[in-house]
Amino acid sequence: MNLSLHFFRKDLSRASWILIFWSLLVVTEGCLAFLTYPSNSSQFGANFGQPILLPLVHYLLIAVIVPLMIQEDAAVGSAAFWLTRPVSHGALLRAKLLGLGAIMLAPLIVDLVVLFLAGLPTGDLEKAFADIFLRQVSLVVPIAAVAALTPTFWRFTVVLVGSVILLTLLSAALPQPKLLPTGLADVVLFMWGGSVLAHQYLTRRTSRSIILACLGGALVTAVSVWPWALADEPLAFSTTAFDSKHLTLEVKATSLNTSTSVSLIHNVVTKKIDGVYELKGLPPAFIYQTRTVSARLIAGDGTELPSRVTISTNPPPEFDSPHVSAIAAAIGIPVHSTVSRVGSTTLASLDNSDFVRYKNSPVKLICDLDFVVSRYETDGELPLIKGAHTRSRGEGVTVGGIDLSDEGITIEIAESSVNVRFSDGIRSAGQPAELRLRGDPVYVLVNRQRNEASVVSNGTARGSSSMFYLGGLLMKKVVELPFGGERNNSAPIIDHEWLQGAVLVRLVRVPVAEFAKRAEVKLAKLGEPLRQPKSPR
Amino acid sequence: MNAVIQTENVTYRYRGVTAVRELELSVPEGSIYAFLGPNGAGKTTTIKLLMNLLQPSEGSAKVLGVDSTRLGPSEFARVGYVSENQQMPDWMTVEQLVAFCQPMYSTWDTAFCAKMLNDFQLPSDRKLKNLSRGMRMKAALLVSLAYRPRLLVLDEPFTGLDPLVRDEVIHGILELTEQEKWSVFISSHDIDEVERLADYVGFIDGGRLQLSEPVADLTARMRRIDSVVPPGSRRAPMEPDSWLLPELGPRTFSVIDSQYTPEKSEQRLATLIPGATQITATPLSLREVFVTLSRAARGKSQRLSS
Repeated sequence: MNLSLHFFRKDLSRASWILIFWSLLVVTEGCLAFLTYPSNSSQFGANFGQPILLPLVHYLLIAVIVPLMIQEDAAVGSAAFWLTRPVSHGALLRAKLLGLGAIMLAPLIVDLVVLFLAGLPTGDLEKAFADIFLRQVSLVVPIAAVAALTPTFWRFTVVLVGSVILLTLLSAALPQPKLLPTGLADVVLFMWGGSVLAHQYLTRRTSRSIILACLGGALVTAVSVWPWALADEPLAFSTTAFDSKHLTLEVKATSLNTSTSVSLIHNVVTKKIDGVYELKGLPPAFIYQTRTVSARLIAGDGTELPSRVTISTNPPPEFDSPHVSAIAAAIGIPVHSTVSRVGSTTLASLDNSDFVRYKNSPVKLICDLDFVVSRYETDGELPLIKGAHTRSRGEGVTVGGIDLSDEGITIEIAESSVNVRFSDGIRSAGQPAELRLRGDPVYVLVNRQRNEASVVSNGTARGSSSMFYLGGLLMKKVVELPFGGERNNSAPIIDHEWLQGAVLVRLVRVPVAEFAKRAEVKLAKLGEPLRQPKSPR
Repeated sequence: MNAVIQTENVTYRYRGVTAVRELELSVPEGSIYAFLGPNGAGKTTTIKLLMNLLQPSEGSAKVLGVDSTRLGPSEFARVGYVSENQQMPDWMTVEQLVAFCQPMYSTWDTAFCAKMLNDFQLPSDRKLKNLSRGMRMKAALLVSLAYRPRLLVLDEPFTGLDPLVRDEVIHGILELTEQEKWSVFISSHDIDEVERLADYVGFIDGGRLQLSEPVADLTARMRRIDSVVPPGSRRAPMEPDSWLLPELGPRTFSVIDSQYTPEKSEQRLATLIPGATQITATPLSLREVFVTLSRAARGKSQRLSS
């Protein structure tokens, strides 16, 4: 171990200047994130380019420091100084791992301190540690593996850039799963890089290490595109009792469309059966979302056509009728909304060759949808004062500005959140299902004195911009919420007077139940124009 | 006498090219073994095989009694290796290089290192990348000698050195080996330089070892024999195998006898070339020996190929 420490100290000495610069950068990045991420801070961090520029420089420096340390005692070729010195391969590998550990330690400490100061619950620190550690190792160790297989920085750069381009092309060409088990890709990247690094240093069999690297690259790609449906996590439901027996699923095929996609080899023509689906009988206090879907297309002769399921599992648009009803139930005040829509989606798609073969055949579309029913819950209230601030579920919300005009009112709010994987408070893919399903919070303008409430105009917020700090661990989102200005007699007129007694209420969705429903659609002929819906709801 | 280096039928192939073939080499303990050959003959590859930098395709080699493919820290603690191809940590100063190498060796002799530092006139505070080629080679020697290795392996140590530095280095090696009884395996294509050093010599060409024996034996058995012959004389139809590069002129005949025996060799020439007179045998320098061996080997291969 003494010799490992000796080589480790030598590596630190070798990269001392760039390490000092990099450490300062990490600390600066942490300080700027801490100062500028809170929702009630000014946005000068964005003006400094902090969210984009500093991480970019950070990654570039990592891509310089790591090969500098690794190639200082190269594991390829036969000219390295250490090869004829009394140092074992294992001792040198330990020295290199110590060096990589040091590179990972600084961001780990700084990020944890910033997260702690940013309000991360103490109980979540170990989750934050796991998240940051995985982020670091999945970045540093694969870079080290590439450096261990290349004799010079120039070759390292060529191989690294080539690999990134190849992976980008592959990820564009291959289907991406909607859900990836949390941290799995990072773990696989880490294991892959670590295996290649260890194998090369311990054996110096470069050809075998390259084969190992290629196999690992294939595994990483496979993990990234694998349909991880089984990995979806069970939901933690609230205690609200819910009976789904009386609910029915209605599916209507509305049109047959053709789409052409350009692949690297040839154009792919696909036939799509579009339609709508709706869950009937849902009590007004609830909304539904699809969680998993499967659709099978059965020809008249019983043959199952090789179709792809493309039913959207995204939540339906906010502020359509079911949502507004659920919002009204949550706040106990009638809510006005002019938005009413049921989104059309592609129910199934199949290759043109299969379509041509069966276009005169009657077909049956069997849809199995797994639904999650949620209700809205008040998450916080903000008085309509610039700078008003509230915190809930690890998120900070601040009113940034209020602009009242003849067209209504526009409220700018800033949301800041800590996004630690394995923890509450995140909504991205690959995270616990109930958090994804919770979606973005909804803001409603409420005047309890008048018993009136208004959702945002046209059903959508506008001018949304997001800033990510510390590689996405901290996020700040600025949203403009327009209210009023609608030409409808039933809509409240939002003016100065109305606003006197109004507050901005923040709502979140809470899943309460999950159940499966099946529906069948029979088509007389696959190739004939499909019946149009009677009228959109 | 024990051999510090012993190879058996070592062959190394790389991308279809046989760089070293069927190498049989033995370096006695305490000797200075000069491993000679032209550029591209396979000297550096052989040394890399001995130092476990490459693995033999066939055969095996032992260094300090250990299979070369199993050389590890305990063996490298007793081996000093200096090569012009070795990547030095150029960002270090000489002082830093010494400080870096010292903890690796339990036998590091600080006083000896300081003495060499002084003798070599190395600037301690200067980075290796700012040193001249000769100075760099001295620095490499310094950190390969300071722990008093049992075996010193030098791959083309004189390349790029000016004559004065060469003399210093040679003098230093001779002095150390005399005092410490170290074994030295030194490769070079510069025959004149190692002639002063070596007591054993090996000659490799085209990846094949042409000879390996004590220098004294080699110079004793290799003689140039010159004679005056009558006009119109012809070469003997059955010349001895030991005759290399025979040359028949209008009035002279000369040949290199690789198995020279005083009087017997002269008598044999007189018998095979009738009328030959004034037969004289002259010793050869190592350079002349290897030029002869190289030309003879190439002539033989050309005859075989034609």
